[in-house]
Amino acid sequence: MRGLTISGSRPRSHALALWVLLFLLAPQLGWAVGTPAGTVISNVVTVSYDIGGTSQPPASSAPVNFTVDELIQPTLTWQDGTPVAVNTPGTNDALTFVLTNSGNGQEAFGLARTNGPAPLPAGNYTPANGSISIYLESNGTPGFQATDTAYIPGTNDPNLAPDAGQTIYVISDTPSVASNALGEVRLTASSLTAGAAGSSPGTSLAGLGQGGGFAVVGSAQAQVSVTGSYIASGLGLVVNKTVFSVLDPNGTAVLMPGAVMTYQITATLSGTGTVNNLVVTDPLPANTTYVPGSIVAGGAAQTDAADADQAQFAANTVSVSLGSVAAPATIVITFRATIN
Amino acid sequence: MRISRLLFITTLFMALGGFSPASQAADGAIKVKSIAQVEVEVVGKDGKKTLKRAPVEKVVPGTEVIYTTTFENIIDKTVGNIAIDNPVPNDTEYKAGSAFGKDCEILFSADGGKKFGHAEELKVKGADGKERTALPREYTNIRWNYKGQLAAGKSGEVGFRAVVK
Repeated sequence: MRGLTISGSRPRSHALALWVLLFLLAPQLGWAVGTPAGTVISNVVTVSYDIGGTSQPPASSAPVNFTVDELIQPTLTWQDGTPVAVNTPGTNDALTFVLTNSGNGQEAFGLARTNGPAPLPAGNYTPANGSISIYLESNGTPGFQATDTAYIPGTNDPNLAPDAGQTIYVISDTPSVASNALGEVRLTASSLTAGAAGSSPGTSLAGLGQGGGFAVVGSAQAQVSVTGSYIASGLGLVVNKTVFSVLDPNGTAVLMPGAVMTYQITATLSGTGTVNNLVVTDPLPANTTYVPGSIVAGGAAQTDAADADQAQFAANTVSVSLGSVAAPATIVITFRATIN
Repeated sequence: MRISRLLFITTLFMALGGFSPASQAADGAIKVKSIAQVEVEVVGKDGKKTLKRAPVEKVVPGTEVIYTTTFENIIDKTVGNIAIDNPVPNDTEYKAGSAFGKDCEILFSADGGKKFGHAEELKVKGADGKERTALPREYTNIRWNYKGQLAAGKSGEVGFRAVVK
């Protein structure tokens, strides 16, 4: 029964294997996760027929079976997308990565970081390891918190089921560097299957796949590296206040008692990064009276009460809470006051 | 003594001889054999790449497997009305346009073998509940209807390709 001797029953020719690549390694890239490693695929063919017009019992082939091997295929992505703004000097700022097992078997991966990978572009700085250099998301709250789990190589290496992912935080300190300098960190995730990481695609490791078959190195060479970056913050904030317009009781623009002045405050945030809890406060000048309900911030009318909107008027002071503002940004605030 | 020994051997011989046709009768008139192969790219010393078929040795998602079935008439009578049925193997998808078979009408099923037809006759319900023509990767069964008779000792070959999901 030649049809039965299919899987693993032939001696492997290593000399030939060097020259042979599985023809289909390239097209399989699009498969996120396929048939689990260790699955037996079976084929049986049945033939029905007549003899002299009389139907006969059908004939069947012996089953042709083979077992699906494990494809080792990690994918790694940097999640922040744009350089993460950090203070200079600064401590413990996170870059966020996601490691996904795009293979078809359970696979463990070791993690390592390279600070300021060579060649270091002119003007770039080299980030330093944070107090703990890599964290694994574990507390269920998105983003890095100190309550996530510190990564310890060899102890809690991400061991991922097919299609499972692990969010990884690379934590860095920033030395004193020039504003807007970039600092890169490369994260590398390597399959912990012996002999897999860095091997050429198609490399087969007998008996090391999940289910006892081959572990087959995929196009990512069982090892993925992705670079994320920081940018040293060069934030600048300039606030200007002007009398934008005057309207006197005669309908002209003369500064006289009873004239209404429109004040304009312009907050300009330059550079790169984000300011938090940005609050603009402006005590009213002497001998003026605030025109109730006249505050407009970022084009939106505001109420005077301390409520959900950004502005309030209290203790003869206009204050506008802008919250977190990413640079570059320009915010315009206007309000009116009457000259006593 | 010698006679009884001879008799024993003779009986044994007859028993064995008698066994063979009985076994063949159980197999019937058609011997069916299926094999699975993959195509590998072989790079020669001159750098030329050629495709060669090899036994299935390693299979990962995305691997294309070539199934070849031979059917042989092993009796001394002509056999007719031959239909070869092959469900698309578990965890694989039929590769469009890959089924072959000389002197055969090739039909497919997209409902587990209840209804067979040509590609354009196969309907499935899409995600929106509307009927549409089945895609090749949705085929569940392949059937080859051999045209004509298969004479004693003759054989035929059919096959297809499937991609491991």
